[in-house]
Amino acid sequence: MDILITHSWLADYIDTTAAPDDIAKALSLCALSVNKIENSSDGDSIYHIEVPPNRYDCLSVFGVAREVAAVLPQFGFSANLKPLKEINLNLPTKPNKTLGIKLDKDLAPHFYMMVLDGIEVKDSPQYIQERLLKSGMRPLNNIVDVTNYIMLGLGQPLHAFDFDKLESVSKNKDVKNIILRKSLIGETIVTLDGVKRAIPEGSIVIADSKKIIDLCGIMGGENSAISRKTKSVILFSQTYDPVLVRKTSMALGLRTEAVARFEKGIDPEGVLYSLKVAAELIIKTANGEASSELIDKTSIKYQPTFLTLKKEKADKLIGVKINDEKVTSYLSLLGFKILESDNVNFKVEVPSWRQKDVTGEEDLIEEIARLHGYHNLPNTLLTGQPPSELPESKFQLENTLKSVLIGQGFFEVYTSPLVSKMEGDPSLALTNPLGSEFSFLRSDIISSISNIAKNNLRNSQRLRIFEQGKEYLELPDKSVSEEEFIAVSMVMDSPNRQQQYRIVRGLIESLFSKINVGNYRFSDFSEFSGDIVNTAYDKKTAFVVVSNDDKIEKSVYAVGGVVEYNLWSFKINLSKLSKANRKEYRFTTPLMYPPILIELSLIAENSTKYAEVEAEIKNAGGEFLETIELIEIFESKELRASGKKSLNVQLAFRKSDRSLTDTEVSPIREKIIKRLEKVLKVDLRK
Amino acid sequence: MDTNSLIKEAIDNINKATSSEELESYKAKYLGGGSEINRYLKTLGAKSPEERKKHGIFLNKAKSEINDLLRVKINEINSKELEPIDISTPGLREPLGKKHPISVAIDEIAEIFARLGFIRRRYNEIETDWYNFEGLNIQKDHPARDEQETFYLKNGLVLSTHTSSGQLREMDKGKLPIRMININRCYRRQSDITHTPSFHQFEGLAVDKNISITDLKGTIDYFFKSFFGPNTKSRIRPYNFRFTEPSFEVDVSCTYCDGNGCAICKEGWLEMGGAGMVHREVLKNGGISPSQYSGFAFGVGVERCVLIRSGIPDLRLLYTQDIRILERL
Repeated sequence: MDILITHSWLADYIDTTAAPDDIAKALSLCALSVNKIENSSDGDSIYHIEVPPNRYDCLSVFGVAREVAAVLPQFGFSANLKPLKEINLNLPTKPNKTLGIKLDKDLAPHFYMMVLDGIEVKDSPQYIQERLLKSGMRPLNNIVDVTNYIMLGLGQPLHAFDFDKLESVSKNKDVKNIILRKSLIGETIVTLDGVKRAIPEGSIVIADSKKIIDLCGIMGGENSAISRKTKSVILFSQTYDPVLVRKTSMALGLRTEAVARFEKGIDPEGVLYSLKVAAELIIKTANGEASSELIDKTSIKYQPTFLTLKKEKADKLIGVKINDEKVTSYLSLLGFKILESDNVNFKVEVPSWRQKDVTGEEDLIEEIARLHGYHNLPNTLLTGQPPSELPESKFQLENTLKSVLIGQGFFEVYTSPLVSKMEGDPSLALTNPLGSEFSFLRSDIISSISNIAKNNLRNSQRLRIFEQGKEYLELPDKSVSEEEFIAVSMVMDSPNRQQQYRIVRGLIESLFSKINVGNYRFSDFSEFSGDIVNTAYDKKTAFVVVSNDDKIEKSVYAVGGVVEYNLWSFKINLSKLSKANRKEYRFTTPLMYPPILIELSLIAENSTKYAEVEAEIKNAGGEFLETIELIEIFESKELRASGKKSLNVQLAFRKSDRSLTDTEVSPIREKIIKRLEKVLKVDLRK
Repeated sequence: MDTNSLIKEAIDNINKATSSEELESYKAKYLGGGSEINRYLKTLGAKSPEERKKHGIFLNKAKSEINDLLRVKINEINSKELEPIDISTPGLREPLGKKHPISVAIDEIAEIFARLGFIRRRYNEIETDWYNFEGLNIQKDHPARDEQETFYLKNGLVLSTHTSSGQLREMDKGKLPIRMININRCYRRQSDITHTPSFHQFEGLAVDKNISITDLKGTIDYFFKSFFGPNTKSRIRPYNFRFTEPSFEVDVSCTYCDGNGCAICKEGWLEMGGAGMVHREVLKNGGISPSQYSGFAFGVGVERCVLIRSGIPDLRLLYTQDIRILERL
């Protein structure tokens, strides 16, 4: 929580020669972040201070002054916290106002109240108005302003009501009864800001016999608000069950300065004092006088907490030894009482305003270390044995694949996995989306990458992009899974579909070979059930890459196809691919004798698959056939008219221990040609 | 003609040649399949083993000498025939792609911490309340949850709001000491000029006997000097997180003004993230005895590191879907 503290107000509580810049620096390094010093028009300095949730004791000018007094001496400045002045209220010997309360003590462990009469509601004195304005609060009138002024000054939220607006018990208008209880189903209140609110059941409220007058700890009711006509004021000072206050505030989305303090913590020893200061100030600024008893309904007695600090533990955790005198000085400056100290331990009493925060030995160590100054500690590196575990291999696998893509001209993109609508399984919806734009986790990375590609077709001649990211799914057993992918989109130059496919396939083959995955095959969707087939792809071009290894479960390593005219996308499932068997690299000697190359121009039926041709060549090729390479698929009008295509293949024959001769290869060539003709009706082109 | 004179003739002819065509013809004549030397080599099969060896070695050596000479002469002639080049013409480049700056940073972060013995992790993004909050000492209804702006799924699952959710995952493995660097995507329910609903963090966690605040300081200082440059300074200041005690905010000296103070930084310092000594409750939740072990943890935003180092002015540019911007990132 960010608060504004004015330097002139701070000076009410502390004597120091330090300038605002020095104070800000000391606070930032040893206590609280000062994000900015603002210079106000009247020459004052306003500190913008970030108060973390545990430092509720610093949500006031006095609280910050306490810290300033502790930290400044560490920077060579003298600083003395002035003692808070004692307040002696003149309470009536014969009270003319009677206020009864029935109270559930678990809801409000500390509770004080009193009535002030003869009030003249008007504008506050100038200094109060100015201080409120500089602290970011709007002045209203002297009563409300005083309650706010005390809250900002001392940290205790207070509330004032118009006594006369409460229901009277009898005809005697000077006797009123109220009740502090949990709210029931269906109760409402119009709060001070004029908004009618349905009160969440179980909220803490104060009511008279007819109406709810206060949404406790959050905001008062309009029905009992102080107005310019108010003559008689009820003043409350209390603590509430912080969880209940917070719950109601969250449920209503109503955050106030009071909530921010009640939900985090209040100094139990300051509740009564704050009421007295406020009463005194109201009497002073509104000409009033106390007209009731000071009603005390506090049900718990303050119990201090004691902690023991082992010196050895402090030295070990901080990393350097801090001598006893310094430890004593730091803790004392921060309000801790050193009760005992020997060679081994310190026994200390925690100040009342730090009770919720400082609960263990480490908390004490923090107090010592921060006052010593983290900036004064040396930097060291870890000295123990590092873990013996080896790095996870998946990161290297990902990086290898990405490097290949980058080398081939691909740009990496990052997108958000939060999408507006999800195709397929709608179960991974956010229960609290951020608008419709971020309402689902994507189940399909191909849509994201393909959409980016489509939107950029105009901006790039040669679009090649990829993304590494996850797909999120709900599994049949209702558990959720996240799988890691690399998704790729590329625009093709060549209009030839077959050629485009070969480029995509070649890229996937290069990627897999770079990570030594060899046992896989390309297949169409027909052997898989529908859920793998992504609606993003044109069905005629869609392909899958599956494992071909008997030893592992059949896995889909990749899926791809045409998403739009000459735009291809595919995704590689890294989670699955990382489980593939990867052949370790071993050096093998290349064959040194030159191969005999023969080229065959084959005419095949359009329906004949290249793989069939290749298989038959292999079949007939014998042991010397080393490689078969598809040079070109040749098409022409004439061929198409006759339902045929031409395949140019190059075969390499080689022997490891000597050169082959033409006379050895030509019979094999004949055998291959015969076989192709017989089995596949494939002819040599004339 | 005997082989000696044949070889001498070949060398003379090649030396006198003046064109590449001429050299091609000598290559065929003296080394081609039907050349006299090769024909002679084929007749060796009929001779005695000693003879075969003697002549074989001699002729093969001669062949390789002729071959070498041919290569030298071809180079010589070619260089005379070539046009000079215009050094000022632009190069032809194969278009290169580019790794995204977030990935570049992630790789570098992993690499820097690997040097210090930290094992890289990437735990799941969808987490249970326990790992993201409860186990980290952030109880339901605690005000600290407000700052987290959490996205929820059904069944009480959350999208990790910080990489700290990896702390207990790591401790659950049951191996000590721990040096973990969990780099992952996180989510917060906010979207504005400085926040995207999805972003990246890295979380360091070390648990061992005798780990101290000075170790934390030294480790993060080493990282920031490695990442931003050797003149970088770092510091920690008091803060509060539920899962560390004590807790710190981590600053580095501003890389724009060298720590002198400018519009981007606060008095010469840039806030980089949070850190602290692992809270005893968290150690207990991870099955580790706080009386025997201590630890530190820190969390820093990856995107923030990228922006500060690169001068990219707006976080949202990192998530651009415009290839023209992407190419310049």
